[in-house]
Amino acid sequence: MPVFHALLKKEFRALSQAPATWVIWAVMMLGQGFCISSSLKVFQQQALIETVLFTSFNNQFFWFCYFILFPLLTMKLFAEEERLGTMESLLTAPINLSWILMSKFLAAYLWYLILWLPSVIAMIVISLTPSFKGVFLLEDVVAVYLLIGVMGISFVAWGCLCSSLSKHQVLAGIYCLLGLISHHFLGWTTHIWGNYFQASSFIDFLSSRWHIQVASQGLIAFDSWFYFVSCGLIILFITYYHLNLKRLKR
Amino acid sequence: MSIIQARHLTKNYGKKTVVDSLDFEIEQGKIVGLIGKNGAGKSSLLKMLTTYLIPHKGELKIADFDIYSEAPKIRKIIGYLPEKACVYPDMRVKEYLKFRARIKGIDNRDVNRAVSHVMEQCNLLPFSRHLIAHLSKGYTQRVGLADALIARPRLLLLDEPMSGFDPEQMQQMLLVIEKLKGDYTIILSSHNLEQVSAICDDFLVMDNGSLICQGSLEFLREQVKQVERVDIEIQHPLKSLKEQLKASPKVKQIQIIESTKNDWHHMRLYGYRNKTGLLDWCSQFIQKTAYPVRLLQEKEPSLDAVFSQLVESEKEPTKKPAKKSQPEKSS
Repeated sequence: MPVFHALLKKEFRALSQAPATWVIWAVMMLGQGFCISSSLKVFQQQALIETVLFTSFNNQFFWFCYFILFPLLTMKLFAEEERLGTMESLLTAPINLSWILMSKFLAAYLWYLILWLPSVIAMIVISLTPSFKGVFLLEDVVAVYLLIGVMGISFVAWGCLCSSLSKHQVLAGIYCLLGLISHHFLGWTTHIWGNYFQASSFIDFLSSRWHIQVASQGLIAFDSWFYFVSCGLIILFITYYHLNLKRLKR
Repeated sequence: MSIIQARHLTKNYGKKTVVDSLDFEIEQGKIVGLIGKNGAGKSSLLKMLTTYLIPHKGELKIADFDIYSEAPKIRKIIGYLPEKACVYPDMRVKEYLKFRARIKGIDNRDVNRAVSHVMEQCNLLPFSRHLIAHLSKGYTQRVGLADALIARPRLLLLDEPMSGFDPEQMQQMLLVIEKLKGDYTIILSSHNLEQVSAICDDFLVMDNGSLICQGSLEFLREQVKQVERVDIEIQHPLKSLKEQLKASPKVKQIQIIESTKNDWHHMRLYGYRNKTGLLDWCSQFIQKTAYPVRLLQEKEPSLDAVFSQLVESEKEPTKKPAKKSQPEKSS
Protein backbone atom coordinates (compact mmCIF):
# COMPACT_ATOMS: atom_id res chain seq x y z
CA MET A 1 0.00 0.00 0.00
CA PRO A 2 2.79 2.57 0.67
CA VAL A 3 3.88 2.11 -2.94
CA PHE A 4 0.35 2.76 -4.25
CA HIS A 5 0.04 5.73 -1.91
CA ALA A 6 3.29 7.18 -3.31
CA LEU A 7 2.05 6.74 -6.88
CA LEU A 8 -1.34 8.28 -6.08
CA LYS A 9 0.26 11.23 -4.29
CA LYS A 10 2.55 11.90 -7.24
CA GLU A 11 -0.31 11.76 -9.74
CA PHE A 12 -2.55 13.98 -7.62
CA ARG A 13 0.24 16.49 -7.23
CA ALA A 14 0.99 16.44 -10.96
CA LEU A 15 -2.66 17.25 -11.70
CA SER A 16 -2.76 19.99 -9.10
CA GLN A 17 0.27 21.63 -10.75
CA ALA A 18 -1.11 21.33 -14.28
CA PRO A 19 -2.45 24.66 -15.62
CA ALA A 20 -5.21 22.71 -17.43
CA THR A 21 -6.71 21.67 -14.08
CA TRP A 22 -7.06 25.28 -12.96
CA VAL A 23 -8.45 26.30 -16.34
CA ILE A 24 -11.15 23.63 -16.00
CA TRP A 25 -11.88 24.72 -12.47
CA ALA A 26 -12.35 28.32 -13.58
CA VAL A 27 -14.57 27.28 -16.50
CA MET A 28 -16.56 24.92 -14.27
CA MET A 29 -17.15 27.60 -11.63
CA LEU A 30 -18.17 30.18 -14.21
CA GLY A 31 -20.31 27.72 -16.17
CA GLN A 32 -22.02 26.22 -13.16
CA GLY A 33 -22.48 29.62 -11.55
CA PHE A 34 -24.09 30.88 -14.73
CA CYS A 35 -26.37 27.81 -15.03
CA ILE A 36 -27.60 28.01 -11.43
CA SER A 37 -28.00 31.78 -11.31
CA SER A 38 -29.85 31.98 -14.65
CA SER A 39 -32.19 29.17 -13.55
CA LEU A 40 -32.86 31.01 -10.29
CA LYS A 41 -33.49 34.26 -12.12
CA VAL A 42 -36.05 32.61 -14.38
CA PHE A 43 -37.61 30.95 -11.33
CA GLN A 44 -38.03 34.33 -9.62
CA GLN A 45 -39.54 35.97 -12.71
CA GLN A 46 -41.94 33.31 -13.93
CA ALA A 47 -43.26 29.92 -13.05
CA LEU A 48 -41.20 27.08 -14.50
CA ILE A 49 -42.60 23.91 -15.94
CA GLU A 50 -39.49 22.03 -14.86
CA THR A 51 -37.69 22.38 -11.54
CA VAL A 52 -34.73 24.74 -11.11
CA LEU A 53 -32.50 21.74 -10.53
CA PHE A 54 -33.64 20.20 -13.82
CA THR A 55 -32.94 23.37 -15.82
CA SER A 56 -29.56 23.81 -14.09
CA PHE A 57 -28.38 20.43 -15.31
CA ASN A 58 -30.09 20.27 -18.67
CA ASN A 59 -28.67 23.16 -20.63
CA GLN A 60 -25.82 23.66 -23.07
CA PHE A 61 -23.51 25.28 -20.50
CA PHE A 62 -23.62 22.23 -18.27
CA TRP A 63 -22.74 19.94 -21.19
CA PHE A 64 -20.03 22.30 -22.41
CA CYS A 65 -18.37 22.07 -18.98
CA TYR A 66 -18.84 18.33 -19.00
CA PHE A 67 -17.20 17.91 -22.42
CA ILE A 68 -14.10 19.94 -21.71
CA LEU A 69 -13.63 18.58 -18.21
CA PHE A 70 -12.67 14.99 -19.03
CA PRO A 71 -10.26 15.60 -21.94
CA LEU A 72 -8.39 18.35 -20.07
CA LEU A 73 -8.21 16.34 -16.88
CA THR A 74 -7.09 13.04 -18.38
CA MET A 75 -5.21 13.75 -21.62
CA LYS A 76 -1.81 13.97 -19.91
CA LEU A 77 -2.07 10.86 -17.76
CA PHE A 78 -0.33 8.32 -20.00
CA ALA A 79 0.49 10.46 -23.06
CA GLU A 80 2.87 12.64 -21.05
CA GLU A 81 4.60 9.59 -19.51
CA GLU A 82 5.15 8.19 -22.99
CA ARG A 83 6.45 11.51 -24.30
CA LEU A 84 8.91 11.97 -21.44
CA GLY A 85 9.92 8.30 -21.49
CA THR A 86 9.07 8.01 -17.79
CA MET A 87 6.79 5.06 -18.46
CA GLU A 88 9.99 3.06 -18.98
CA SER A 89 11.32 4.01 -15.56
CA LEU A 90 7.96 3.19 -13.96
CA LEU A 91 7.81 -0.20 -15.66
CA THR A 92 11.37 -1.10 -14.64
CA ALA A 93 10.58 -0.37 -10.98
CA PRO A 94 9.13 -3.20 -8.88
CA ILE A 95 5.51 -2.07 -9.31
CA ASN A 96 2.52 -3.53 -11.14
CA LEU A 97 1.04 -1.97 -14.22
CA SER A 98 -2.37 -2.14 -12.53
CA TRP A 99 -1.09 0.11 -9.71
CA ILE A 100 0.11 2.67 -12.22
CA LEU A 101 -3.27 2.62 -13.97
CA MET A 102 -5.31 2.77 -10.76
CA SER A 103 -3.22 5.57 -9.27
CA LYS A 104 -3.70 7.68 -12.40
CA PHE A 105 -7.40 6.90 -12.55
CA LEU A 106 -7.98 7.63 -8.86
CA ALA A 107 -6.00 10.88 -8.92
CA ALA A 108 -8.00 12.14 -11.92
CA TYR A 109 -11.25 10.95 -10.33
CA LEU A 110 -10.48 12.71 -7.04
CA TRP A 111 -9.81 15.90 -8.97
CA TYR A 112 -13.05 15.40 -10.86
CA LEU A 113 -14.91 15.28 -7.56
CA ILE A 114 -13.05 18.32 -6.25
CA LEU A 115 -14.00 20.29 -9.38
CA TRP A 116 -17.69 19.78 -8.59
CA LEU A 117 -17.29 20.80 -4.96
CA PRO A 118 -17.94 24.56 -5.39
CA SER A 119 -21.16 23.85 -7.25
CA VAL A 120 -22.28 21.35 -4.55
CA ILE A 121 -21.59 23.93 -1.86
CA ALA A 122 -23.50 26.57 -3.83
CA MET A 123 -26.49 24.24 -4.21
CA ILE A 124 -26.53 23.40 -0.49
CA VAL A 125 -26.22 27.06 0.50
CA ILE A 126 -29.07 28.01 -1.84
CA SER A 127 -31.29 25.20 -0.61
CA LEU A 128 -30.73 26.36 2.97
CA THR A 129 -31.28 30.06 2.18
CA PRO A 130 -34.75 31.19 3.41
CA SER A 131 -35.47 33.36 0.34
CA PHE A 132 -34.98 30.35 -1.91
CA LYS A 133 -36.83 27.96 0.33
CA GLY A 134 -38.36 25.18 -1.70
CA VAL A 135 -36.36 25.89 -4.83
CA PHE A 136 -34.27 22.77 -4.35
CA LEU A 137 -34.90 19.84 -2.15
CA LEU A 138 -31.70 18.68 -0.52
CA GLU A 139 -32.52 15.05 -1.43
CA ASP A 140 -32.79 16.01 -5.12
CA VAL A 141 -29.44 17.78 -4.97
CA VAL A 142 -27.89 14.68 -3.38
CA ALA A 143 -29.42 12.46 -6.08
CA VAL A 144 -28.04 14.49 -8.98
CA TYR A 145 -24.56 14.90 -7.51
CA LEU A 146 -24.34 11.23 -6.63
CA LEU A 147 -25.09 10.45 -10.25
CA ILE A 148 -22.51 12.98 -11.45
CA GLY A 149 -20.00 11.27 -9.15
CA VAL A 150 -20.83 7.84 -10.53
CA MET A 151 -20.79 9.07 -14.15
CA GLY A 152 -17.28 10.34 -13.55
CA ILE A 153 -16.06 6.77 -13.01
CA SER A 154 -16.79 5.76 -16.58
CA PHE A 155 -15.74 9.02 -18.24
CA VAL A 156 -12.46 9.36 -16.31
CA ALA A 157 -11.78 5.73 -17.26
CA TRP A 158 -12.53 6.66 -20.87
CA GLY A 159 -10.05 9.54 -20.61
CA CYS A 160 -7.41 7.12 -19.25
CA LEU A 161 -7.95 4.81 -22.23
CA CYS A 162 -7.69 7.70 -24.72
CA SER A 163 -4.52 8.97 -23.05
CA SER A 164 -2.93 5.53 -23.37
CA LEU A 165 -3.63 5.50 -27.12
CA SER A 166 -1.26 8.30 -28.07
CA LYS A 167 1.87 10.00 -26.83
CA HIS A 168 0.49 13.35 -27.96
CA GLN A 169 -1.73 14.71 -25.25
CA VAL A 170 -3.71 16.91 -27.63
CA LEU A 171 -4.55 13.90 -29.77
CA ALA A 172 -5.54 11.97 -26.63
CA GLY A 173 -7.78 14.89 -25.65
CA ILE A 174 -9.42 14.89 -29.08
CA TYR A 175 -10.10 11.13 -28.89
CA CYS A 176 -11.68 11.66 -25.49
CA LEU A 177 -13.81 14.57 -26.67
CA LEU A 178 -15.01 12.69 -29.77
CA GLY A 179 -16.05 9.73 -27.60
CA LEU A 180 -17.93 11.97 -25.18
CA ILE A 181 -19.74 13.85 -27.95
CA SER A 182 -20.72 10.59 -29.67
CA HIS A 183 -21.99 9.20 -26.39
CA HIS A 184 -23.95 12.36 -25.63
CA PHE A 185 -25.57 12.47 -29.05
CA LEU A 186 -26.87 8.94 -28.62
CA GLY A 187 -29.41 10.62 -26.37
CA TRP A 188 -30.52 12.90 -29.18
CA THR A 189 -31.25 9.98 -31.54
CA THR A 190 -34.72 9.42 -30.16
CA HIS A 191 -35.28 13.15 -29.90
CA ILE A 192 -34.53 13.59 -33.62
CA TRP A 193 -36.04 10.41 -35.09
CA GLY A 194 -38.74 9.84 -32.48
CA ASN A 195 -39.02 6.96 -30.06
CA TYR A 196 -41.08 4.68 -32.26
CA PHE A 197 -38.41 2.08 -33.00
CA GLN A 198 -37.79 -0.89 -30.74
CA ALA A 199 -34.34 0.02 -29.45
CA SER A 200 -35.23 3.64 -28.62
CA SER A 201 -35.51 3.15 -24.87
CA PHE A 202 -32.25 1.17 -24.86
CA ILE A 203 -30.45 3.93 -26.79
CA ASP A 204 -31.87 6.49 -24.37
CA PHE A 205 -30.52 4.45 -21.50
CA LEU A 206 -27.03 4.40 -23.03
CA SER A 207 -26.74 8.18 -23.21
CA SER A 208 -25.64 10.27 -20.24
CA ARG A 209 -28.27 12.91 -21.07
CA TRP A 210 -31.12 10.61 -20.14
CA HIS A 211 -29.53 9.66 -16.80
CA ILE A 212 -28.95 13.30 -15.87
CA GLN A 213 -32.57 14.10 -16.71
CA VAL A 214 -33.75 11.31 -14.42
CA ALA A 215 -31.44 12.27 -11.56
CA SER A 216 -32.24 15.99 -11.79
CA GLN A 217 -35.85 15.10 -11.06
CA GLY A 218 -34.60 13.85 -7.71
CA LEU A 219 -34.71 10.15 -8.54
CA ILE A 220 -31.92 7.87 -7.38
CA ALA A 221 -31.71 5.28 -10.14
CA PHE A 222 -29.51 2.34 -9.18
CA ASP A 223 -29.60 1.00 -12.73
CA SER A 224 -27.80 4.24 -13.79
CA TRP A 225 -25.19 3.67 -11.11
CA PHE A 226 -24.72 0.07 -12.17
CA TYR A 227 -24.44 1.15 -15.82
CA PHE A 228 -21.74 3.79 -15.25
CA VAL A 229 -19.74 1.78 -12.70
CA SER A 230 -19.68 -1.31 -14.92
CA CYS A 231 -18.78 0.77 -18.00
CA GLY A 232 -15.95 2.34 -16.00
CA LEU A 233 -14.61 -1.03 -14.88
CA ILE A 234 -14.78 -2.46 -18.40
CA ILE A 235 -12.95 0.55 -19.85
CA LEU A 236 -10.29 0.33 -17.13
CA PHE A 237 -9.81 -3.34 -17.93
CA ILE A 238 -9.44 -2.52 -21.65
CA THR A 239 -6.91 0.21 -20.77
CA TYR A 240 -4.90 -2.25 -18.67
CA TYR A 241 -5.02 -4.83 -21.43
CA HIS A 242 -3.96 -2.25 -24.03
CA LEU A 243 -1.03 -0.96 -21.94
CA ASN A 244 0.14 -4.49 -21.24
CA LEU A 245 -0.09 -5.44 -24.90
CA LYS A 246 1.85 -2.30 -25.86
CA ARG A 247 4.58 -3.30 -23.39
CA LEU A 248 4.75 -6.86 -24.71
CA LYS A 249 4.82 -5.67 -28.33
CA ARG A 250 7.81 -3.37 -27.80
CA MET B 1 29.29 -16.93 -9.41
CA SER B 2 27.27 -15.68 -12.36
CA ILE B 3 24.59 -13.07 -11.79
CA ILE B 4 23.43 -13.11 -15.43
CA GLN B 5 23.08 -16.16 -17.62
CA ALA B 6 21.86 -15.69 -21.18
CA ARG B 7 21.34 -18.51 -23.67
CA HIS B 8 20.32 -17.91 -27.30
CA LEU B 9 18.79 -14.58 -26.28
CA THR B 10 16.95 -13.10 -29.27
CA LYS B 11 14.84 -10.00 -29.75
CA ASN B 12 13.09 -8.89 -32.93
CA TYR B 13 11.44 -5.59 -33.82
CA GLY B 14 9.02 -6.71 -36.49
CA LYS B 15 11.15 -8.59 -39.02
CA LYS B 16 14.40 -7.02 -37.85
CA THR B 17 16.50 -8.99 -35.39
CA VAL B 18 18.11 -6.53 -32.99
CA VAL B 19 19.58 -9.07 -30.60
CA ASP B 20 20.63 -12.27 -32.26
CA SER B 21 21.05 -15.44 -30.20
CA LEU B 22 23.37 -14.09 -27.52
CA ASP B 23 25.12 -16.45 -25.12
CA PHE B 24 26.99 -14.94 -22.22
CA GLU B 25 27.47 -15.01 -18.48
CA ILE B 26 28.41 -12.15 -16.20
CA GLU B 27 30.08 -12.68 -12.88
CA GLN B 28 28.91 -10.99 -9.74
CA GLY B 29 30.81 -7.89 -8.56
CA LYS B 30 32.35 -7.02 -11.91
CA ILE B 31 32.04 -3.92 -14.05
CA VAL B 32 31.31 -5.05 -17.58
CA GLY B 33 31.56 -2.74 -20.56
CA LEU B 34 28.94 -3.38 -23.22
CA ILE B 35 30.53 -1.95 -26.34
CA GLY B 36 29.00 -1.46 -29.74
CA LYS B 37 28.19 1.11 -32.38
CA ASN B 38 24.82 2.86 -32.44
CA GLY B 39 22.20 0.30 -33.43
CA ALA B 40 24.35 -2.65 -32.35
CA GLY B 41 21.64 -3.87 -29.97
CA LYS B 42 23.12 -2.68 -26.66
CA SER B 43 20.07 -0.77 -25.48
CA SER B 44 17.72 -3.59 -26.46
CA LEU B 45 19.86 -6.06 -24.51
CA LEU B 46 19.87 -3.80 -21.44
CA LYS B 47 16.11 -3.30 -21.71
CA MET B 48 15.67 -7.07 -21.74
CA LEU B 49 17.82 -7.30 -18.61
CA THR B 50 15.50 -4.78 -16.94
CA THR B 51 12.47 -6.91 -18.00
CA TYR B 52 11.07 -3.88 -19.87
CA LEU B 53 11.43 -5.82 -23.12
CA ILE B 54 10.51 -9.47 -23.39
CA PRO B 55 12.88 -11.65 -25.46
CA HIS B 56 11.36 -13.50 -28.39
CA LYS B 57 13.58 -16.51 -27.88
CA GLY B 58 16.16 -17.84 -25.48
CA GLU B 59 16.72 -18.04 -21.76
CA LEU B 60 17.68 -15.25 -19.42
CA LYS B 61 18.29 -15.64 -15.73
CA ILE B 62 19.26 -12.83 -13.41
CA ALA B 63 20.36 -13.89 -9.92
CA ASP B 64 18.71 -17.23 -10.77
CA PHE B 65 15.34 -15.58 -11.39
CA ASP B 66 13.78 -16.38 -14.72
CA ILE B 67 12.85 -13.33 -16.80
CA TYR B 68 9.58 -14.83 -18.06
CA SER B 69 8.14 -16.03 -14.78
CA GLU B 70 9.91 -13.96 -12.11
CA ALA B 71 10.16 -10.47 -13.65
CA PRO B 72 8.90 -8.61 -10.52
CA LYS B 73 11.64 -10.26 -8.44
CA ILE B 74 14.23 -9.22 -11.00
CA ARG B 75 13.00 -5.60 -10.93
CA LYS B 76 13.64 -5.56 -7.18
CA ILE B 77 17.34 -6.30 -7.60
CA ILE B 78 18.19 -4.07 -10.54
CA GLY B 79 18.88 -0.39 -10.94
CA TYR B 80 18.59 1.04 -14.44
CA LEU B 81 19.75 4.28 -16.00
CA PRO B 82 18.51 4.72 -19.58
CA GLU B 83 20.53 6.62 -22.18
CA LYS B 84 18.42 9.72 -21.56
CA ALA B 85 17.50 9.75 -17.88
CA CYS B 86 13.71 9.51 -17.78
CA VAL B 87 12.83 11.84 -14.95
CA TYR B 88 9.94 14.19 -14.21
CA PRO B 89 11.18 17.69 -15.08
CA ASP B 90 8.57 19.39 -12.89
CA MET B 91 9.82 17.69 -9.72
CA ARG B 92 12.62 18.79 -7.43
CA VAL B 93 15.65 16.49 -7.12
CA LYS B 94 15.01 15.37 -3.54
CA GLU B 95 11.28 15.05 -4.09
CA TYR B 96 11.83 12.88 -7.18
CA LEU B 97 14.31 10.61 -5.39
CA LYS B 98 11.92 10.25 -2.44
CA PHE B 99 9.16 9.23 -4.83
CA ARG B 100 11.41 6.69 -6.54
CA ALA B 101 12.59 5.35 -3.17
CA ARG B 102 8.98 4.80 -2.09
CA ILE B 103 7.93 3.04 -5.27
CA LYS B 104 10.99 0.82 -5.01
CA GLY B 105 9.68 -0.40 -1.70
CA ILE B 106 12.04 1.40 0.70
CA ASP B 107 10.47 1.71 4.12
CA ASN B 108 9.13 5.21 4.87
CA ARG B 109 11.46 5.53 7.89
CA ASP B 110 14.52 4.83 5.69
CA VAL B 111 13.58 6.98 2.71
CA ASN B 112 15.34 10.16 3.88
CA ARG B 113 18.52 8.29 4.77
CA ALA B 114 18.57 6.46 1.42
CA VAL B 115 17.97 9.69 -0.52
CA SER B 116 20.72 11.57 1.33
CA HIS B 117 23.12 8.67 0.78
CA VAL B 118 22.63 8.52 -3.02
CA MET B 119 22.68 12.29 -3.35
CA GLU B 120 26.05 12.28 -1.62
CA GLN B 121 27.29 9.41 -3.81
CA CYS B 122 26.30 11.29 -6.97
CA ASN B 123 27.37 14.74 -5.72
CA LEU B 124 23.82 16.05 -5.84
CA LEU B 125 23.50 17.48 -2.34
CA PRO B 126 23.82 21.14 -3.43
CA PHE B 127 21.01 20.59 -5.95
CA SER B 128 18.45 18.87 -3.73
CA ARG B 129 15.94 21.75 -3.97
CA HIS B 130 16.49 22.40 -7.68
CA LEU B 131 13.82 21.65 -10.25
CA ILE B 132 15.03 18.83 -12.50
CA ALA B 133 14.03 20.89 -15.56
CA HIS B 134 16.62 23.50 -14.51
CA LEU B 135 19.53 21.03 -14.26
CA SER B 136 22.16 20.54 -16.96
CA LYS B 137 22.25 17.28 -18.91
CA GLY B 138 25.12 16.00 -16.76
CA TYR B 139 23.28 16.61 -13.51
CA THR B 140 20.01 15.23 -14.87
CA GLN B 141 21.93 12.06 -15.72
CA ARG B 142 23.27 12.01 -12.15
CA VAL B 143 19.71 12.21 -10.84
CA GLY B 144 18.96 9.16 -13.02
CA LEU B 145 22.02 7.40 -11.59
CA ALA B 146 20.98 8.26 -8.04
CA ASP B 147 17.56 6.80 -8.83
CA ALA B 148 19.18 3.62 -10.14
CA LEU B 149 21.26 3.31 -6.94
CA ILE B 150 18.63 4.21 -4.39
CA ALA B 151 17.38 0.74 -3.54
CA ARG B 152 20.94 -0.64 -3.39
CA PRO B 153 20.43 -3.00 -6.34
CA ARG B 154 22.62 -6.05 -6.90
CA LEU B 155 22.82 -5.30 -10.61
CA LEU B 156 23.26 -1.82 -12.04
CA LEU B 157 22.51 -1.29 -15.73
CA LEU B 158 23.82 1.94 -17.21
CA ASP B 159 22.92 2.65 -20.82
CA GLU B 160 25.44 5.10 -22.30
CA PRO B 161 25.45 7.23 -19.14
CA MET B 162 27.93 9.67 -20.66
CA SER B 163 26.41 10.16 -24.07
CA GLY B 164 26.47 13.81 -25.12
CA PHE B 165 28.77 14.81 -22.22
CA ASP B 166 31.73 17.15 -22.52
CA PRO B 167 35.10 15.65 -21.41
CA GLU B 168 34.85 17.17 -17.93
CA GLN B 169 31.35 15.86 -17.30
CA MET B 170 32.47 12.49 -18.65
CA GLN B 171 35.39 12.38 -16.25
CA GLN B 172 33.15 13.29 -13.31
CA MET B 173 30.63 10.60 -14.22
CA LEU B 174 33.39 8.00 -14.58
CA LEU B 175 34.64 8.95 -11.12
CA VAL B 176 31.16 8.50 -9.67
CA ILE B 177 30.83 5.07 -11.34
CA GLU B 178 34.33 4.06 -10.30
CA LYS B 179 33.44 4.73 -6.66
CA LEU B 180 30.70 2.10 -6.97
CA LYS B 181 33.18 -0.59 -7.96
CA GLY B 182 33.05 -3.59 -5.67
CA ASP B 183 29.62 -2.83 -4.22
CA TYR B 184 27.62 -3.59 -7.35
CA THR B 185 27.70 -5.66 -10.50
CA ILE B 186 27.61 -3.02 -13.21
CA ILE B 187 26.92 -3.26 -16.92
CA LEU B 188 28.00 -0.07 -18.61
CA SER B 189 27.13 0.37 -22.26
CA SER B 190 29.10 2.69 -24.49
CA HIS B 191 30.07 3.09 -28.11
CA ASN B 192 33.50 4.25 -27.01
CA LEU B 193 35.76 1.45 -25.79
CA GLU B 194 38.60 3.82 -24.89
CA GLN B 195 36.29 5.85 -22.67
CA VAL B 196 35.25 3.01 -20.38
CA SER B 197 38.36 0.82 -20.56
CA ALA B 198 39.78 2.35 -17.36
CA ILE B 199 36.94 1.22 -15.14
CA CYS B 200 35.68 -2.03 -16.71
CA ASP B 201 36.90 -5.50 -15.76
CA ASP B 202 35.35 -7.31 -18.72
CA PHE B 203 33.87 -6.39 -22.06
CA LEU B 204 31.10 -7.60 -24.30
CA VAL B 205 31.49 -6.27 -27.83
CA MET B 206 28.35 -6.24 -29.95
CA ASP B 207 27.66 -5.54 -33.57
CA ASN B 208 24.43 -5.97 -35.52
CA GLY B 209 22.80 -7.71 -32.58
CA SER B 210 25.54 -10.33 -32.23
CA LEU B 211 28.25 -10.74 -29.65
CA ILE B 212 31.53 -10.49 -31.53
CA CYS B 213 34.00 -10.49 -28.68
CA GLN B 214 33.93 -11.18 -24.97
CA GLY B 215 36.81 -10.93 -22.54
CA SER B 216 38.96 -8.90 -20.21
CA LEU B 217 40.91 -5.76 -21.05
CA GLU B 218 44.07 -7.89 -21.37
CA PHE B 219 42.33 -10.04 -23.92
CA LEU B 220 41.34 -6.95 -25.89
CA ARG B 221 44.89 -5.67 -25.68
CA GLU B 222 46.00 -8.99 -27.20
CA GLN B 223 43.68 -8.14 -30.05
CA VAL B 224 45.40 -4.74 -30.26
CA LYS B 225 48.73 -6.47 -30.80
CA GLN B 226 47.30 -8.22 -33.82
CA VAL B 227 46.40 -4.88 -35.38
CA GLU B 228 48.80 -2.49 -37.11
CA ARG B 229 48.21 1.19 -37.74
CA VAL B 230 50.08 3.40 -40.16
CA ASP B 231 49.53 7.14 -40.61
CA ILE B 232 50.29 8.44 -44.07
CA GLU B 233 50.03 11.83 -45.79
CA ILE B 234 49.92 11.34 -49.52
CA GLN B 235 49.01 13.38 -52.62
CA HIS B 236 46.76 11.81 -55.23
CA PRO B 237 43.04 12.00 -56.20
CA LEU B 238 41.16 10.42 -53.31
CA LYS B 239 38.90 8.07 -55.24
CA SER B 240 41.69 6.41 -57.18
CA LEU B 241 43.92 6.27 -54.09
CA LYS B 242 41.25 4.54 -52.04
CA GLU B 243 40.62 2.03 -54.82
CA GLN B 244 44.28 1.14 -54.99
CA LEU B 245 44.60 0.79 -51.21
CA LYS B 246 41.42 -1.25 -50.91
CA ALA B 247 42.63 -3.60 -53.61
CA SER B 248 45.42 -4.74 -51.31
CA PRO B 249 44.62 -7.64 -48.92
CA LYS B 250 47.04 -6.06 -46.46
CA VAL B 251 44.91 -2.94 -45.81
CA LYS B 252 41.80 -3.81 -43.79
CA GLN B 253 40.48 -0.36 -43.04
CA ILE B 254 41.06 3.18 -44.26
CA GLN B 255 40.26 6.23 -42.20
CA ILE B 256 40.52 9.70 -43.77
CA ILE B 257 41.75 12.14 -41.14
CA GLU B 258 42.01 15.24 -43.32
CA SER B 259 41.90 16.16 -47.01
CA THR B 260 43.03 19.39 -48.69
CA LYS B 261 41.92 20.93 -51.99
CA ASN B 262 45.20 20.11 -53.69
CA ASP B 263 44.61 16.39 -53.06
CA TRP B 264 46.78 15.94 -50.02
CA HIS B 265 45.20 13.33 -47.75
CA HIS B 266 46.06 12.40 -44.20
CA MET B 267 45.00 8.74 -43.90
CA ARG B 268 45.08 6.13 -41.19
CA LEU B 269 45.48 2.57 -42.44
CA TYR B 270 44.77 -0.55 -40.39
CA GLY B 271 45.81 -4.15 -41.04
CA TYR B 272 46.47 -7.41 -39.20
CA ARG B 273 50.05 -8.15 -38.22
CA ASN B 274 51.72 -10.92 -40.21
CA LYS B 275 55.02 -11.58 -41.99
CA THR B 276 55.01 -8.45 -44.17
CA GLY B 277 54.36 -5.41 -42.00
CA LEU B 278 51.85 -2.76 -43.06
CA LEU B 279 54.61 -0.13 -42.93
CA ASP B 280 56.79 -2.18 -45.32
CA TRP B 281 53.86 -2.62 -47.65
CA CYS B 282 53.21 1.14 -47.62
CA SER B 283 56.89 1.88 -48.45
CA GLN B 284 56.69 -0.51 -51.41
CA PHE B 285 53.41 1.10 -52.51
CA ILE B 286 54.99 4.59 -52.44
CA GLN B 287 58.05 3.44 -54.37
CA LYS B 288 55.88 1.71 -56.98
CA THR B 289 53.42 4.56 -57.52
CA ALA B 290 55.81 7.46 -56.85
CA TYR B 291 53.02 9.55 -55.32
CA PRO B 292 54.33 12.47 -53.20
CA VAL B 293 54.38 11.61 -49.49
CA ARG B 294 54.87 13.93 -46.50
CA LEU B 295 54.37 11.47 -43.64
CA LEU B 296 54.70 7.74 -43.14
CA GLN B 297 54.59 6.58 -39.55
CA GLU B 298 53.64 3.41 -37.67
CA LYS B 299 51.53 3.97 -34.52
CA GLU B 300 50.09 1.82 -31.74
CA PRO B 301 46.37 1.36 -32.52
CA SER B 302 43.85 2.50 -29.94
CA LEU B 303 41.27 0.20 -28.33
CA ASP B 304 38.62 1.83 -30.47
CA ALA B 305 40.57 0.93 -33.57
CA VAL B 306 40.56 -2.67 -32.38
CA PHE B 307 36.84 -2.45 -31.83
CA SER B 308 36.41 -1.12 -35.38
CA GLN B 309 38.62 -3.95 -36.66
CA LEU B 310 36.56 -6.54 -34.79
CA VAL B 311 33.38 -5.14 -36.29
CA GLU B 312 34.90 -5.03 -39.78
CA SER B 313 36.25 -8.57 -39.58
CA GLU B 314 32.83 -9.79 -38.45
CA LYS B 315 31.39 -8.41 -41.69
CA GLU B 316 34.11 -10.23 -43.70
CA PRO B 317 34.29 -13.78 -42.33
CA THR B 318 37.33 -14.73 -44.38
CA LYS B 319 39.43 -11.98 -42.76
CA LYS B 320 38.28 -12.83 -39.25
CA PRO B 321 40.94 -13.39 -36.59
CA ALA B 322 40.89 -16.91 -35.22
CA LYS B 323 40.01 -16.24 -31.59
CA LYS B 324 37.52 -13.70 -30.31
CA SER B 325 36.29 -15.14 -27.07
CA GLN B 326 38.53 -15.35 -24.07
CA PRO B 327 39.15 -18.96 -23.04
CA GLU B 328 37.79 -19.79 -19.60
CA LYS B 329 40.34 -19.96 -16.83
CA SER B 330 40.96 -23.51 -15.61
CA SER B 331 40.23 -23.90 -11.95
